[in-house]
Amino acid sequence: MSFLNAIMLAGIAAVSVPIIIHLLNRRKFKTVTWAAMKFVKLSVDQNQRRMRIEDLILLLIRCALVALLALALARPASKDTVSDALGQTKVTAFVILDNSYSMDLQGRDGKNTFEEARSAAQETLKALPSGSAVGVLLASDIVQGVIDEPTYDLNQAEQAIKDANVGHHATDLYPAVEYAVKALKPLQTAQPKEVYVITDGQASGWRQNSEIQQLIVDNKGSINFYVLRVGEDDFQANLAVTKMDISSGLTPINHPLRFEVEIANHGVNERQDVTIDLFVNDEESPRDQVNIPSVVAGGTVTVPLFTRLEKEGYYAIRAAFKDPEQADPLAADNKNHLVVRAVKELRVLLVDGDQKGSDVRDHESFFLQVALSPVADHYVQVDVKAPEELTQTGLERYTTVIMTNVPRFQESDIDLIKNYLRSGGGLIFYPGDKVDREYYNEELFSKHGILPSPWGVAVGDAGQDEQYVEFQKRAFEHPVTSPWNNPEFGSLGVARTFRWHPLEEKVDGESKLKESGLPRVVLRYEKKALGVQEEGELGGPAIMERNWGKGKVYQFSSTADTDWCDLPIRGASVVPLIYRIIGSIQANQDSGLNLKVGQPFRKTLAVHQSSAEGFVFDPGLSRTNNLTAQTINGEPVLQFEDTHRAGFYSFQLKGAAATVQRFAVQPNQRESDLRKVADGDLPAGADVIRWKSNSNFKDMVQKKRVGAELWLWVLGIVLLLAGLETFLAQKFSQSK
Amino acid sequence: MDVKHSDLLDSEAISRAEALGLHARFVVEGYMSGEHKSPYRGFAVEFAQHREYTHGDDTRHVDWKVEARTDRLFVKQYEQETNYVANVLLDGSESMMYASGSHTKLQYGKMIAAVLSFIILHQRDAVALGIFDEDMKDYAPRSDSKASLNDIMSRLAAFKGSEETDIGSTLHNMAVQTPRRGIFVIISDFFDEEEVVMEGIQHLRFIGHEVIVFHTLDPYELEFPFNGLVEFDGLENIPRILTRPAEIRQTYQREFDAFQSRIKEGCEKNGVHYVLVDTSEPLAQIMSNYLSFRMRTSKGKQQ
Repeated sequence: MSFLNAIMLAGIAAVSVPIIIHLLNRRKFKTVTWAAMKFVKLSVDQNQRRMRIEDLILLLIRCALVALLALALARPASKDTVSDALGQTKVTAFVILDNSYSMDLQGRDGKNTFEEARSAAQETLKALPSGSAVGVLLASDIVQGVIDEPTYDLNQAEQAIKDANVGHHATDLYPAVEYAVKALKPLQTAQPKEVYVITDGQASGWRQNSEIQQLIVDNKGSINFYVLRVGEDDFQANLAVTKMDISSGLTPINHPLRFEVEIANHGVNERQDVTIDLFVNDEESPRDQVNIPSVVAGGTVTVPLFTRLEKEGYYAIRAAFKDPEQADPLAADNKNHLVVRAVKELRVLLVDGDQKGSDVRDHESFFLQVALSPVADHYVQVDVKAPEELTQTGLERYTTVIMTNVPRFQESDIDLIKNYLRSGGGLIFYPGDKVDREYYNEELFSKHGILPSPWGVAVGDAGQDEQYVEFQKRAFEHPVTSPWNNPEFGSLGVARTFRWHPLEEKVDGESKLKESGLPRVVLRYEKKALGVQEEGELGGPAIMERNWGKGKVYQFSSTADTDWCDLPIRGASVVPLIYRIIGSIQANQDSGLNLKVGQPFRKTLAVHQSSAEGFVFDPGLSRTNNLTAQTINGEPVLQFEDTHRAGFYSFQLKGAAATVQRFAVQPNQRESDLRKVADGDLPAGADVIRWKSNSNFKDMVQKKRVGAELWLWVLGIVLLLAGLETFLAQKFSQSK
Repeated sequence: MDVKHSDLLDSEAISRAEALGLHARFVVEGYMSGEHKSPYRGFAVEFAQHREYTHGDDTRHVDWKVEARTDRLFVKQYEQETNYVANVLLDGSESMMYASGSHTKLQYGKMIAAVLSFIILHQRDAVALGIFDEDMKDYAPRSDSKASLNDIMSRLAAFKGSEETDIGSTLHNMAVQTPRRGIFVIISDFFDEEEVVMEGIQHLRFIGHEVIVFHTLDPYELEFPFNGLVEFDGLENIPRILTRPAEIRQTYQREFDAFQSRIKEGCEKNGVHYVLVDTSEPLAQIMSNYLSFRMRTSKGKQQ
């Protein structure tokens, strides 16, 4: 026997009330001066014993009434009662349905894990006592509150579960559990609260296990947690196309484009003879194909695939296993998507602050010029200007403007640069011996927030070649440098830097200017003191970047020529590096082409298009979504938020001349690792139930609940006693 | 409460009583000529028999015709209509002080006594009034003078009531002190030892008195209509009793009815007129009912 509202048991103390009333009533009488006392005494003597017994009976009934009423309000419940006749305890519950894409797995028995989870969720609803309230959350690394507040309409909840779909997010169950707890905790209800997590038990979903454990501990006694494990107990091998990137960074037409495609084997066995195809748009035949002889268990292989794009415009590039059905039963990660914009040419402006030498090779920008446009008819067109010419030069036609050893800028130049960045331009700053470091730090970093970091006092001696630092050789995190994580892509570590301005990774009082984005490290030095090698540790930033307005700013710590470093002559390093930087600037201008699941697609419109409409076609769900322009940060924007499934989407602006633009949504590659968490590793305090469709789930849960509520019965007894009391009071008060 | 003389005389009751008259059920001894037959042959107008003259006889009653014939002196004896003495005894004990309405039983009893005294004196009969509790507290000797009415009224009005009652011994004393047969009117609630009361009545009857009992009770004593929790504070030294009267009403009424029946049966058994007086009823109605009854029974006896 337990009580759902135990505080009301204090009401049992109210049994003293009838006794007090009884005693008070005995003091509340009228006095009659009476003559025929003999007869009163005779009558009283004959009835006294009976009247006392009757008084006692009524008093006991009234005390019992009060005590039982308090007991009913305390809502007693008994676990011993298995019959529904007493009425099960109503609960307020949240059903958390894992809809990460690992749930889309086809089991060996042919059952889809999510279908099984859906059945489990529906069984959970059926197992709720009538009158219960339930909320439904779809959990992945985001929380979708399809019924974000518990509703008594269980049909609505059932429909919400029927309508639920698997997304292509990774799993992280903590946010959903936290959401449910936050929603349940403040409810002033005596009803038991329950949280059901229905999941395939993928280990990655429980990586915040300790936090979930803490939530369970903090709410022990008030919220019961159940984990319903669906799907197969052991995990299946899973081969995934985890990444695709265009290694050249730039996408000129009629040039061979190299796509780096990463294959991961999340199984415990080596996979052999894996064929990967590269498709362009909706073509049925692959443009390129690579056979991978072997992918070791737990390992990754990155392979290049090539194609050419024939004309300017958007292309949907897809890398997929040749036979995805045979690759593995988790289809979502058997392919990867990328949308690129092919361009005819790119224009880059080099602003050279040191052109004093008569030999062009002595100019600061010489090596960059050669690296960017090695031949006359190259798709990258480079113009070189002196800093004084900046004002007369229209920057808008350049994808990127590179400042090399420019001492300082005029005020008008700053305005020009800011406007250029606002319109989506890219800027690269190189230091040099002519640079007025104080000016840069004051004006471009502190005042305008354009530079990602101030330039520190230069360190190192450019005049010797014994002491230098090298770039990092592994653990590249920034998208620009991440291809170098693959050793086959080459190495940046061969370049040596003899002198440089240290960059500050974390700057206190980062620019509060709203147009300035957060600074990020693109490339680091290896951590070593000058002349002392310290393997294994990363040092300070060599290149940093930040967004500014719609544009992007890169900042190098060493020179563009060979005065302070030898990177400019390391063609295998500098060319892809600078191309990828310029490519990222271009991609930034095309931002929104490649999104992660859940990341909203935004199409910024011209000011005059504030009433424009568009639509997005979601091929995964064969659904067309209409969009209406809304104003974000003062600009009309068409926004599409339902990007929960990976794949290509088509966007079209409504209008006669509207063209179709495609964008790609990538799944979270972390979800491809299907390893399961062991029951023992699940948070203690949660009841783990291996859900089987034929199991008597309802009984299992009911046994774990408080049991059947008895208050209705107690109230019935109270009513019976009340009736008995009325009857007896009337009966006893009759004259005898 | 002070009671004025006029309060004691219910004019309506008196007029009805005069109209109907008070007829003795039996022939009582009287010393005034009147409407009541004397049990003694004496000097009334209707001749009964002769007896020989003895010394002291009034010479006016000597039958001179018989003396002429027989030369002996005989006096005439007559069956004479004679006046009677009504002894009105009012219980003045504390229990008579109870009133649920505007009149206590004692006040009501005083009115009965006053009305009866008025009627009797106007019929040229004699009245003696006694007010008693455990003994005789006030006594107005017999008088046939209408002027004594004022004295009776004054005594009634002046009596305040007392604590204890002892009806039996009072009646015994009265029986002893009143050897000449007459009428005893007893006005009381008889909240006393019933056997002793009945013995007193029997004593009066034994001597030959006609006894009329006015059993004076308050309607609340008859009905016991109380509700809720009530503490009864006894008038005659019985400790207080706290009870719920509604729950014992039937028992009370049963016991009270039994008491009343015992009094009534005891009266009837001894040839005593029993009159139940409910103080909520108009006195005139009670008096007329009784006198009507008394006249009927008196005529029946005469016929």
